Amino acid sequence: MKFLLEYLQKIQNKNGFISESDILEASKQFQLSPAEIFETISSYEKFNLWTTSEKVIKICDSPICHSKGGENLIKLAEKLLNTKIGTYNKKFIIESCQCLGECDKGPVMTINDELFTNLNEEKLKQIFKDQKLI
Amino acid sequence: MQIKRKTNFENFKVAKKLSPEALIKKVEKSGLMGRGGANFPTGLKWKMSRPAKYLICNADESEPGRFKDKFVLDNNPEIVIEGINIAMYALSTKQCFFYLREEFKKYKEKLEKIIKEKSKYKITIVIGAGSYICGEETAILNSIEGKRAETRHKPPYPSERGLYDEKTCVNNIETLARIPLIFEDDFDNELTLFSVSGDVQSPGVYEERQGITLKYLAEKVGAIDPYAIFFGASGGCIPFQQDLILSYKEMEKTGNFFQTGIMFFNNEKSVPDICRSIIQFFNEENCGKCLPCREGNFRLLQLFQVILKRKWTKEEFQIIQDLIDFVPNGSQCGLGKSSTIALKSAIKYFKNEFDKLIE
Repeated sequence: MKFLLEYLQKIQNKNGFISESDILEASKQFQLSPAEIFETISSYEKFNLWTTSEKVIKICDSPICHSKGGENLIKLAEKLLNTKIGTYNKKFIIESCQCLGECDKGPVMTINDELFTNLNEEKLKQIFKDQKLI
Repeated sequence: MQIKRKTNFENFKVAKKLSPEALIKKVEKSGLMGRGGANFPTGLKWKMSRPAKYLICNADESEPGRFKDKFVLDNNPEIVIEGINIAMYALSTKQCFFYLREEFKKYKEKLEKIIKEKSKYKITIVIGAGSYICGEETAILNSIEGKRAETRHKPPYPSERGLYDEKTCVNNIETLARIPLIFEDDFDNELTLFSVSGDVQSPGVYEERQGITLKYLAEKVGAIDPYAIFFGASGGCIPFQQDLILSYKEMEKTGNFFQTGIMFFNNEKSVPDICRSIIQFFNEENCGKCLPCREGNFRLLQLFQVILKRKWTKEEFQIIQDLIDFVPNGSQCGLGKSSTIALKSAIKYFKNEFDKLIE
């Protein structure tokens, strides 16, 4: 049994995004039209259609993290990295994200796949320093 | 905690001594209800699904305030695999898909090891790609089939026509973890995992009976000045009431929907601000298929962003109230239907906070 999601995840993990030629190849392998493959890709948050930054910083803004200062952490991250949320550059991008299922340890964020919990302003600064972002 | 009880698959051996029909009757008699959120009787679901071509273990937990599936994966994945084996025997199923949300991919290796060592049946791990709606029982079918993360029309239910158009049984991971416990003398069908977070001293997962009072839970977790209680993003909210009974039946009376993800907020928190975060959640997580849900939640978010700069006009607040009914009435699936429950009950129970935001 072949799974399209698994196939796409392998490409996503290897290259960081799924290109037009990947879509055409998947279309051949799964005997689906390129439009159908695109339909699937565009419906899931983890798939990118273009290259993304080396470090993707996702700060949770779901109710618990939000109420514990998630929104302020996003603002602080913007200030520290001198960028705006969602603005791409080669080194990093800040995104707000929805519940990561770590509400008992909120506020939380991930940098690529690494999880950071119980954040506060000081901790965020330190993590950015450790990650050589500032 | 019963859910943490170590297993050597003895209960699977006991279960196999029964015929599949007798086993399903036993599950029905146990009174076990699905723990995914809909509270559907598990035995009845099995009866309707049998003989099922596929079983799906749903661990696509993404509801804000709920993290009990992760707790099961962390503490006792063996019991889930045993539960799956019992279910597959009862349902005469040869293939199970274990669907994990993308953030849970770290558990894949551990699960595959247990499956290899202990499982008598074929269980395939499927990793999601980041979509809240895939926790819904028909959207999960689409996701496994590699289609868009959208729900399907019901009926037909998965028990009639599910994965690849075959009879399919979709069970939540906690439900399956409780199956082996049915064979224990002290089985209690009311025991449920509550995920507690927010302004409390000890956030975490607690195994308690349904029917406990909010006061009992608040004391147990060390709630700090409890003021507003939200039941996940989709369950609604109420002011802290000590004597409120935490069960499906009692919660319905308050106009809310019972969710075991319980978020405590103290009186320093603004209820409209929490609502803004919930609207943002549904705005990002809706699949875009039904216009009222897609555009309605977007418009609500725009209106909630207004209060960051100025107060609402009376007309704007009226639009919010209109959208609260328009969105669920025009949406096909549970996401659309529940996306405004929290806002509706917030306006009902915390009207003074909203009044302050109107010109």
